Amino acid sequence: MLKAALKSLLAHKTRLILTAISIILGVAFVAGTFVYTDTTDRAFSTIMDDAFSGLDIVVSGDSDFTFGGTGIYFDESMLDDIAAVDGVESVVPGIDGFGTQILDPDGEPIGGGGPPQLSGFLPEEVGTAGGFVLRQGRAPASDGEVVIDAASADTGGYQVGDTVAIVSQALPVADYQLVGVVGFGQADNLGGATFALFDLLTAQAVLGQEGKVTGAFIQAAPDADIAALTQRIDQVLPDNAKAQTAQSASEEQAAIFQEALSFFSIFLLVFGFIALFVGTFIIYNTFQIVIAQRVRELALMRAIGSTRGQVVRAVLIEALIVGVIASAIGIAVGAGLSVLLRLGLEAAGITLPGGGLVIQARTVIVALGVGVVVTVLSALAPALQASRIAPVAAMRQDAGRPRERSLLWRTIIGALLLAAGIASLATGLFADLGNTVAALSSIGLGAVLILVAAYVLSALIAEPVTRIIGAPLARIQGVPGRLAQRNAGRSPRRTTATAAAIMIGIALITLVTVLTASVRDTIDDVFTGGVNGEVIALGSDQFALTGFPAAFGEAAAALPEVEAASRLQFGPVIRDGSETFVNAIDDNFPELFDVDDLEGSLTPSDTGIIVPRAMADSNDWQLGTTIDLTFEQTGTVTFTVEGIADSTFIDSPTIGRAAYNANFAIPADGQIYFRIADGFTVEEGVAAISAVAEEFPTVNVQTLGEFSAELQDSIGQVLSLLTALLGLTILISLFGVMNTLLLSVHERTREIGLLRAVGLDRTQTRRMIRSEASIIATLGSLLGVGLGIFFGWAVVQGLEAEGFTGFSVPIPTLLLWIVVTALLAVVFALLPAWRASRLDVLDAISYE
Amino acid sequence: MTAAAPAVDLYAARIDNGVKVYGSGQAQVVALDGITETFKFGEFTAIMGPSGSGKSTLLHCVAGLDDLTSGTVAIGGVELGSLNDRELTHLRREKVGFIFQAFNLVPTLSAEENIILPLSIAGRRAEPQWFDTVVDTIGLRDRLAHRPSELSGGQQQRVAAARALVSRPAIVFADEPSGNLDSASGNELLGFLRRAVDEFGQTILMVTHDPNAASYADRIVFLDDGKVVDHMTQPTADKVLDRMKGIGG
Ligand SMILES: Nc1ncnc2c1ncn2[C@@H]1O[C@H](COP(=O)(O)OP(=O)(O)OP(=O)(O)O)[C@@H](O)[C@H]1O
Ligand SMILES: [Mg+2]
Repeated sequence: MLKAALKSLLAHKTRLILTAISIILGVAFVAGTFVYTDTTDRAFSTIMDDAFSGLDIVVSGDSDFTFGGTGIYFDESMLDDIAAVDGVESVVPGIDGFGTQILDPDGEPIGGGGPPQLSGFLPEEVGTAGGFVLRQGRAPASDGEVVIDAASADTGGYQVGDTVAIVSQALPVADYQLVGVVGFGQADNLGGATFALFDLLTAQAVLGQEGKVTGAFIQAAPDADIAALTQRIDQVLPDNAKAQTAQSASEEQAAIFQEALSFFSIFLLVFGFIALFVGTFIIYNTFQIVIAQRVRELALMRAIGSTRGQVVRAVLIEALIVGVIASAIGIAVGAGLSVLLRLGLEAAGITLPGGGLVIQARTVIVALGVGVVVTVLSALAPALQASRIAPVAAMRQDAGRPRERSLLWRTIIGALLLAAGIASLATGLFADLGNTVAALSSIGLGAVLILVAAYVLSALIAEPVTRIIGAPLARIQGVPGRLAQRNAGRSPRRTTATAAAIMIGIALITLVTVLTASVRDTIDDVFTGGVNGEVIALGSDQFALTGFPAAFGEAAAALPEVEAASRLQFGPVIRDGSETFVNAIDDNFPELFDVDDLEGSLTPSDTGIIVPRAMADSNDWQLGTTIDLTFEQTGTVTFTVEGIADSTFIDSPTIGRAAYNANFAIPADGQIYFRIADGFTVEEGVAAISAVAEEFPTVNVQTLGEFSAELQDSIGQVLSLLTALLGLTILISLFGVMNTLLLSVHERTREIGLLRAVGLDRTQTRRMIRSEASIIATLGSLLGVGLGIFFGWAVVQGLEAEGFTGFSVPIPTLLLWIVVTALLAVVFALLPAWRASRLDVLDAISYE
Repeated sequence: MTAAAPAVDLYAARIDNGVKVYGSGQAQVVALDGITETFKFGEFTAIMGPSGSGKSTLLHCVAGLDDLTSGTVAIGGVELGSLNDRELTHLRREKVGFIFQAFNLVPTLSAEENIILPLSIAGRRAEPQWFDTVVDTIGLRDRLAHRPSELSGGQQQRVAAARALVSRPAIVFADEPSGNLDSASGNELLGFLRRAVDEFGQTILMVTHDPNAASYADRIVFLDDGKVVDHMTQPTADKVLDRMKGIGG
């Protein structure tokens, strides 16, 4: 049986390759993700293993904050407490923190845009503090000296001995002498983070934490019991500090870096699964058609005594072989993909520690498993169908396709799937499921169900719809167009399975297009309508939540050009067990921002909090309700709701400036909005505020219009990236179109020969096939656009509480997608069209 | 056909010293072995002969569906050897009609669309009167909107015949047109072809095994082993049967 399957496959190499492409790409994404993750994993573990070499115990802040955490600062006296513990031989202080920017010779910050910009203390015994390896020079020994990471040195073109300008959240820009360069194992930086390292006092000043530390590195006495000593040290520490062995500290560090980089992995895995999902339709369709072509052969098998099980097995073995081969290729491609990803990240300034590719058994098993299971499952329905072919079909002259199953069943199944999908989508969007993962899973499941339902139901409308889509072609091209129109509609199942693959890609592209357009609209609304000001000052790196020194805001607000200024702050907190953000506003907030539907006050007391209207509604908060927020620095603090308001700038619970400064280690500003005084132009205002900002290079001063445009631009970039990746799924599905058409052409040999005999020339024959491709593609993209708009609308409804005000459908962009997809389909139809035009006319006429 | 017409117009199709060889070396088959034959306007010719004698090959070569190894073929005065695929295709759609043994119709088109297919491919319209005449002659006016799958085998063949005639071709080629039909439907179709010749002056070249079918023709060309072995005019089924025995088919 295996032999027969192999033979059948080899007889149709093109079919094999085209079917395999979708599996290869899907598996490649999955395998590539694993290889990439494992490789960086191993590299980080290696570095972190060395990070605390020569140390026994590490003390650090004990925080539930994984991402937004800015570090907990302890009084230096903690070091003396530790040193006093019996069995401690030596203690090295540790201090580090975020928001310190190394400037390049042009005064522009290096790095940022995601990875943190860190600073800290580099002890003279380098290597006792976090995996640094001194590449050149020495550790800083005085207040004017700095050591930076090799990647930053490279970017800035700095050599040991040069002067480097550095600015932090606490200090204005200042010059330091570069005395050394550090690397991390073989990597030049850690996942894109930049490092500026100082002596202890300078590090404390740079971070605005005089007399503070974030941890300690401890060597035990030679004969000490490390576990017991760790416990003893832990006892003398404050509640929010912890002691752990160097070993577990290095594991924890490695885990933190891996988690920070897991974004890419998740992103890639999602695309892997989308590609496989699209692939499912293509495989299903291919086997469906292949079986239709082999009805007679299979019926003959049945007639000469094969059981149904044997027929099913024969088909599944074929699928299995395709699955195994394609998955194996996919794994190899995936390893290549992980190398590409690494190069891509490096190009983006994120260097990862070196080391060979790690291909674990798990990677191979999972990737192979996923690829094979998807292939075999996709072939299952066609296989079962094959087994239902009656032996008598072998005898029938007109051994047509297996009967199209009753439309009634299709309608019922489709409707049930649709209902389930919408229910799941609505639950995810509107119900309070408690956590994001549950909500996202529910939305995802809903989307998948709706897409499948759309596929199932679309077979019911495929005929009339393809007629309508093809009508212009029939009009323009005459017979070739008319035949294409009819052919596209003649086997609705095949057409819709082919179109469904396109539908998925286009639906997702439409979704991101609609969402970004809506976000842009919302941004526009906010900055054209919601602010009574003209100018904004913000940190140069908004992603990293890097603020800027409060001194800037004070100086700028005092300018004669400024009529009013409102300073906003943002920071991470834990509320209800999950990490989120809190905003802080000052007393000028109502001066500058429009607020609707206000209940209570906009000037919260030290323990007061203002909450967004939508959040209040869904959580049932009223004036007077208490809300607990946990800060990294100060622990849990209880606030009382003093205001409920509807404003884009109150998109999270919002506290007062005093409360913020009391609970966060660094009282930096996040954004400042200015209204320019009468008698000054906006340009004059910007110029005056920019002059103040000279001293603070991390501050960007812009008009609101510029800022809004910039934000919209960066959203456009995200859109481009997503579209490029989703475009890949469209390419996969176009291979499906090619596959379907190749098989259709093969199946219609006689018919095409007949057409050629009665006068259809080669050009017309090619046109007929290409037009069919464009009709199928357009069917898919129309369905996709429709569903994508629906998904987009649903998401916007679901996010209304988060301040989404716009719902915008960029029709020209979507039309462009439909046209481009149709044109690409025409390109992918070139091969089948060429084959059709080369068919031997006599084949149609010779009657077996 | 007036006396003033140029000589080439005296015949609808002509094959001159036609040779067709399939394969080479050991497997070489000479399917046509030097055939010269003329098919006059308004004449209904049947080609008969044992299986493998080259009947279909002759038909395909004369119709421009296949090319000769050597020799020439002309249809309506146009020599086929000099034409490229596109010109050949256009010649087929303008000057030739086909009726095959089976699978004559495009399944996605209605009977009417099938009938006018060669015209629509050329971007032309049927002359309404001629179309009506043809449709009434085959007696399928009430079936025009039907798909081929909704027609009987005999009806399908009659639609094919109507298609072959509607463009007023120089010659209609038919390969066993009644081969798949019962005798009643077969006779109906053959009678219809006969009327096309008698009433409209249509030229027809038909391959058949069946002496009864051949008896509808004006003239029979007997083939054996790729060569013309005999002719017969005004055939009857009995005369044909006798003659066939002689060839040993
Ligand atoms: N494509 C081909 N390749 C090789 N040989 C061929 C091919 N087509 C026909 N032949 C051979 O040429 C000869 C003539 O075949 P042809 O089909 O013309 O016979 P026929 O008279 O139509 O027979 P039948 O009555 O069985 O249809 C036969 O010997 C046949 O085997
Ligand atoms: Mg024959």
